[in-house]
Amino acid sequence: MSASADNPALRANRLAAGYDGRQVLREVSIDAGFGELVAIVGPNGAGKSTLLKLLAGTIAPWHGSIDLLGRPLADYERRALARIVAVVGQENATAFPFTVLETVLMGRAPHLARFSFESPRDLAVARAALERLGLLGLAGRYVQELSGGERKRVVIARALAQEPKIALLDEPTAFLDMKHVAEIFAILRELCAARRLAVIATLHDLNAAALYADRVLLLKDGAAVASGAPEQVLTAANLRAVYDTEVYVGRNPATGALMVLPAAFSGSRSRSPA
Amino acid sequence: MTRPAASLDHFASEAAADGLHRAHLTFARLLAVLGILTVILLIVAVTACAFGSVHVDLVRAFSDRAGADHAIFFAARLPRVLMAAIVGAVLAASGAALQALVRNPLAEGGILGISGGGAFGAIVALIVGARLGAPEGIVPLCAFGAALLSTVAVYRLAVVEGRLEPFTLLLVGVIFNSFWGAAIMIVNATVNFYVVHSILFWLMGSFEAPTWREIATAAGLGTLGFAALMAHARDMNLLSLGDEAAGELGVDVDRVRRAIFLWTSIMIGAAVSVSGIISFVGLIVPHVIRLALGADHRLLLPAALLGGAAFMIAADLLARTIIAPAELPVGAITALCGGPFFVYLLRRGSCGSLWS
Amino acid sequence: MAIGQNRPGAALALSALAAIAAATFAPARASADQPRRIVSLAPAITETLFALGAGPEVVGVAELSDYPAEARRLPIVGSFLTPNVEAVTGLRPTLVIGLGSSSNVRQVRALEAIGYPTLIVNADTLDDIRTMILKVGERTGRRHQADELAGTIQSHLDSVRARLKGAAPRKVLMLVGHQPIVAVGPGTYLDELLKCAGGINIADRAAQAWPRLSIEYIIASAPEVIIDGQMGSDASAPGGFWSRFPSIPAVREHRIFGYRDDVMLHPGPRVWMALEELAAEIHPVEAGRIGLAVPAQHNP
Repeated sequence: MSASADNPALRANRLAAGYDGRQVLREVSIDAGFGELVAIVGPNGAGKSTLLKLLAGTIAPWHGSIDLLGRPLADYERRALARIVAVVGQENATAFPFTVLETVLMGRAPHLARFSFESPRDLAVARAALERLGLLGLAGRYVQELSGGERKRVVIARALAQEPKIALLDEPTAFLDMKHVAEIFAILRELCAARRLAVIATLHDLNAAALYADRVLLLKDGAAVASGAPEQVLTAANLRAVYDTEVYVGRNPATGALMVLPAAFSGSRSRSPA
Repeated sequence: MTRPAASLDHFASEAAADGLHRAHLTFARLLAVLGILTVILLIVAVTACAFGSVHVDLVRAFSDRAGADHAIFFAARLPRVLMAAIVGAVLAASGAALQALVRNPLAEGGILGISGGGAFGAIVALIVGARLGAPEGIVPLCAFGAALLSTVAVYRLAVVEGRLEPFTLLLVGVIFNSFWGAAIMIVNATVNFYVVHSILFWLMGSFEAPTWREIATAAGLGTLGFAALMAHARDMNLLSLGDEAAGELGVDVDRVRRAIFLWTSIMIGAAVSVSGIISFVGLIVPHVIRLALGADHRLLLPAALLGGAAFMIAADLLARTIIAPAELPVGAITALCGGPFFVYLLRRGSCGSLWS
Repeated sequence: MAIGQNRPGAALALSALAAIAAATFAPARASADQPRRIVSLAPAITETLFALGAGPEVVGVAELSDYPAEARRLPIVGSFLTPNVEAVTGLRPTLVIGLGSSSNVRQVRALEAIGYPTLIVNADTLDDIRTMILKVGERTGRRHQADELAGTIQSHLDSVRARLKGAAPRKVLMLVGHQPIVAVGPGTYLDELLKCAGGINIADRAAQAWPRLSIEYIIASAPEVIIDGQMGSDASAPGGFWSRFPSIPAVREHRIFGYRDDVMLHPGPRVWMALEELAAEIHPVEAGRIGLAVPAQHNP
């Protein structure tokens, strides 16, 4: 994987990891520079979520190294890490009735001393995040009352409120409709440009990866198959090898972006082109 | 977030204007709510001091040192109200903390086997102590020790690969609770007729005639425990997001879990050792406060403390006046409140959902 | 030999077998006058039986039947509250006597249904105790001894009552124990004894027979004598607990007494001893005059 900058925000080298003796990742390397959006794609079970957990520091690798801002991940104290890295995971526990605003404010926790209350600035940051995600109207509502998509946006808003330098997102666009998917990526790209945020996101949506990511890492069975610019990685040959499906790779006539579509169906309603 | 910092003040005032300040906890709101709750507690406490199974003239109680009013008030009624307040506060606050620990609004010390162990220790001490003629002070000591031992055992069994999983903890706690219940039943069946009464006293809870030493010990341990819990109030908020999310926000989940478990066990052990098993306080009070004031533990914990104290004082007042001059066990009153409370919860379909 | 050929013989053998089985396993029929095997389901009943001279006929007793000494050697058939039906039937009694006020009525009825002769007596009040003695005497063919015993007890009671007539009644609190506080309430024979002994039972206002009183009420009632059994754990006078309430006259003047529960709490023939002990504690001066020994007091 070509280094995109002299000091990338995050660099992970030859990571190997697994659970209960079962190896899930073999020798995967990845890095992301400031202002870059890197997408990790691959079929289910390829190790995308595991890779993300490693980068977040949730699990430890069997071997390999992870450096954030030039320092090893293991050297960071928990709260210091939380001030730099925001994670949007897939689980979303809501055991107690917290409001949307309270939940987003929890993103400010790494910046707050133990006994202090949220300052006006903290509130402003949270409010800005809510506004960005279109959640201002829901600020006083209980998270449990929201739909799956709304809850996902709350989690993303919370991550934004952390004011991180690096954002790790695991399937951030699951459960979201088209409009919100576009909005999320717009926000992420804006943050990359204006705040030099480094973003690594696992995606199942190859077209979103093609459209929004600066670089793509394609995984299969825990190993990297290809990495680089979307055009280089998302080729019919690569995708056939990884997904075991015929695909058609072309250009979206409306946006000019790379477009990936399945090429062959069995049992589809429409007739395949002659 | 590309806007320059200067306009953040703009946001702050806009936030206030939106009424967003109502949707989260501020220092001002904390003080106001706790102030109101303190006033309520004081009113309840004074009322409880004024009423009882006998009439006491409060004015004379303070002025006439040698009179009966003074004796009744300072020897019987005041210690009782104080003890009820302390135990109620401790049980409610530790209940709220335990609920945060296992991410489940149905948790309390009774469910985790802590109070069952304490009761068993007390009962064994009663029986053995009676045979050997040991001083009465040995019973609370044994209750406390047994509660802690039970806690350690539950903890050991519930820790899986170094992590304290909420679900496992609940399961092990329930198992231990059944075990202690069975042990108590066996003891109950094998002791003589008179000890059965003493055992009932422990199983139903009572604030009868506490010594000042017991009051001081319970207050001291309760205060220590509460301070420790408050230090983790924000952590408890974050824990509700899930273990991974809390860790990603900077919480040392394992250490916080251990701390909460340890301190709640100490607090509940102290309460059980002086007053026997009193259930539902740790369930009802935090739940009501959560519904009324929100789930932020920085407010929930102190509000539960005050609310629990008021609730317990009121329950004890009922216990000692309904069939005066005889008394009902206070645990019966709280259990009676528990039933309708849960029916109300079920019908309301409360937003404190158990599983996400 | 084929069955068919010897049918009358086989029938005879079978009926003989049946008769033997019936005789072995069915409850023994008692002759109306002299039951031989008696099971007592309460300590008070045991005492009564021995006092009537029926001791040798008692084959089984309930737990806590420790008076007289011979009773302690008898097999125990279960606790006072829950006698063990199997243990009782194993002793093959010809009479089972139980207390009506306790929960062992159920077991007694069960035994009755099986076919054992039973007797249920009450011992809640002094009158009940007298009736119990007479009934037990009648069923065990010792009517004469029962009349005598009842008469002796009555005269003891009357004599104490008469001697204390002039003494001003004193407020008394009698407890089964103080952890929790379980007092002797109205409708019990102990309440009657307290009155006979010249005492005013401050627990009389309660609605139950064994009320759990509040300390407040006790302080306010200011009893002059406290008699605390400490749940049968310690017969000596209880100290530490009551010394916390020095405003109570009984505590101030050191008139706190313990008691042995087998004397006080068994409503049987020794009830007059209970009365004498109570009288000595409540009115020591008058009691001393009629020659009653005053039990030791506690000095907290």
